[in-house]
Amino acid sequence: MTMTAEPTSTTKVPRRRKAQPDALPTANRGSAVAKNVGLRLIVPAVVLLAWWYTTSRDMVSPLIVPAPGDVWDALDSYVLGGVWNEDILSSARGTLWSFAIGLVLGIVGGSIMAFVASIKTAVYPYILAFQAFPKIAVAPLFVVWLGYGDAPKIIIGASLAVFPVISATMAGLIDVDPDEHNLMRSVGASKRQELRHLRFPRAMSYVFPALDIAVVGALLGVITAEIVGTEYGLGRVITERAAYGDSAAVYAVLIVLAVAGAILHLAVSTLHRVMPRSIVPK
Amino acid sequence: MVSAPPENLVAHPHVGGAEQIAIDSAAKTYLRRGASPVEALRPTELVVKPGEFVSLVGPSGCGKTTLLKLIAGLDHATGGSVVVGERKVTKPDPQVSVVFQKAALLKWYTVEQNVLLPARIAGTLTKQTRQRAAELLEFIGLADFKDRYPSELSGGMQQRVSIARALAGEPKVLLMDEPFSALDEFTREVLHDELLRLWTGHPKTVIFVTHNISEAVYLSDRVAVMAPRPGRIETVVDIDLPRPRTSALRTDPQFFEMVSAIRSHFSKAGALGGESA
Ligand SMILES: Nc1ncnc2c1ncn2[C@@H]1O[C@H](COP(=O)(O)OP(=O)(O)OP(=O)(O)O)[C@@H](O)[C@H]1O
Ligand SMILES: [Mg+2]
Repeated sequence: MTMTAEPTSTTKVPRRRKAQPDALPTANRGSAVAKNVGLRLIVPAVVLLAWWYTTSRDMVSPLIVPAPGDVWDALDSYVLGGVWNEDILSSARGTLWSFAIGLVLGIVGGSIMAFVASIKTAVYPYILAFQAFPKIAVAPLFVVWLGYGDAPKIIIGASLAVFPVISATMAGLIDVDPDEHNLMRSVGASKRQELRHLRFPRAMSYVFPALDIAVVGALLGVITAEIVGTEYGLGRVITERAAYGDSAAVYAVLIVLAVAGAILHLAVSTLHRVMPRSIVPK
Repeated sequence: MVSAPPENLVAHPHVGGAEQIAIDSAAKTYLRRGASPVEALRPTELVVKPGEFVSLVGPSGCGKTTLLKLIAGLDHATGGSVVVGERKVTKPDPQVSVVFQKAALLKWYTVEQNVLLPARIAGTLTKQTRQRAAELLEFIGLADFKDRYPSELSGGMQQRVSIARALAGEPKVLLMDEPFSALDEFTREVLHDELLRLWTGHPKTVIFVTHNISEAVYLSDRVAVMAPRPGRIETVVDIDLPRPRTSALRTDPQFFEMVSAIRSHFSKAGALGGESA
């Protein structure tokens, strides 16, 4: 009954709810994954080899670069042995709280500044200015005020996590295509409906990529505050072990942090994937 | 051939789901800070009868979009008025649908969700509207694509969806601003026929903006020829070609005559700066 220019439009097509435009045909996907994993392993393999080579030849002091074997022993006894459990838990808790607070404050604050220009004018320059402070210099103040508990590290962590979320929220809410805006007006959409159907989804498509940066910021802020002073935390472990000249343990902490960063990244991208497309555009 | 000024400011301003559009000295001057004002549209008179298909044709900058926005209520006239049905236009009205040059589909909604969006916003999302949307998607050959996302569709399919969205709420007036200008010739001709069939099945008053003279002739009952600086309607040409129009008409000498008659208006106005028909 219908004449169509594209012959495909009259043929049955399978539903692909979660279609990814850049996804490879399934036949190739397995080998593509294997290839990616292989590529990712090149750098650590080269680093490990160079590391092992330099330390085995005593080219540098073990105080600067401990042998891979010593670092593995440290990981084995401190991490797998459970000596650092309390510290790892405390840093993880601090990071998650920092991230959550940064996310909520960032979306709320970014929205307020996107919609109320006078508040943006009044506040945004100071947010930028605070952003320029080295957190390592600010952290002692918070520790003095708030003690050795979780509060100072959550504040420092959240202050690092909030900024990318604020700027992404603002950018996403302000970026509106004039045709889409006119469309919403022409169908008689209220401001709230325009927010719900147009501005919010667009803002989310800006916010989610920024979460990768925010979550790493949260972790860095927490570790920084812990280095300055706390009861438990991986940052505390770094200062303590460094004071004993236990480089292998410091390296072990760095490896734990690298793994934590990878896990957080994975968690954020998984969150992005499982969110419905109508809320977080892909 | 050139229609007289509308003697018939019709007594019944709506007929079978279509409404009259009466443009009475509507004008638009854009004031610009630190620059001289732009007279985008000189006071303009035009009455479009209920169910009529009128095209606005003219070179870039002659005020086509400006006039369309005044009718849609997306912009305020700086003089005169526009009356749709019995309502003086002061703000957008869901009874007046707009199709833009870009399909302007929301990429986070499926085809079906996009088509149903106006109903959702108006709070009229009933079984009936869903049914109507499904019929429209079927009609334009996109029923199987209803759960797809816009990024997975070709440009022609996207513009079809945006037309379906505009028609899903059974509007009384359909305003189209160069809806097919981004499409290739083949897709465009197919969409012309689809649009005409949709219009025949569900009569509504259509104002169709285009740069393309033969497109305007093929589709319209009347063609308003516009000219720039200041933007204005030069003349309105009746298209006395029989309906229903089919692609056979495209090679009809009568059709060519109409196209070249309109062309000559542009060359008289000195406005045909390389515009192709
Ligand atoms: N917001 C605005 N501010 C100032 N001038 C404007 C504005 N919108 C349009 N104009 C001017 O008004 C005139 C008519 O513009 P309009 O968009 O109606 O033209 P058009 O016929 O739709 O052109 P095109 O075919 O390129 O779409 C132009 O000179 C344009 O520069
Ligand atoms: Mg225009």
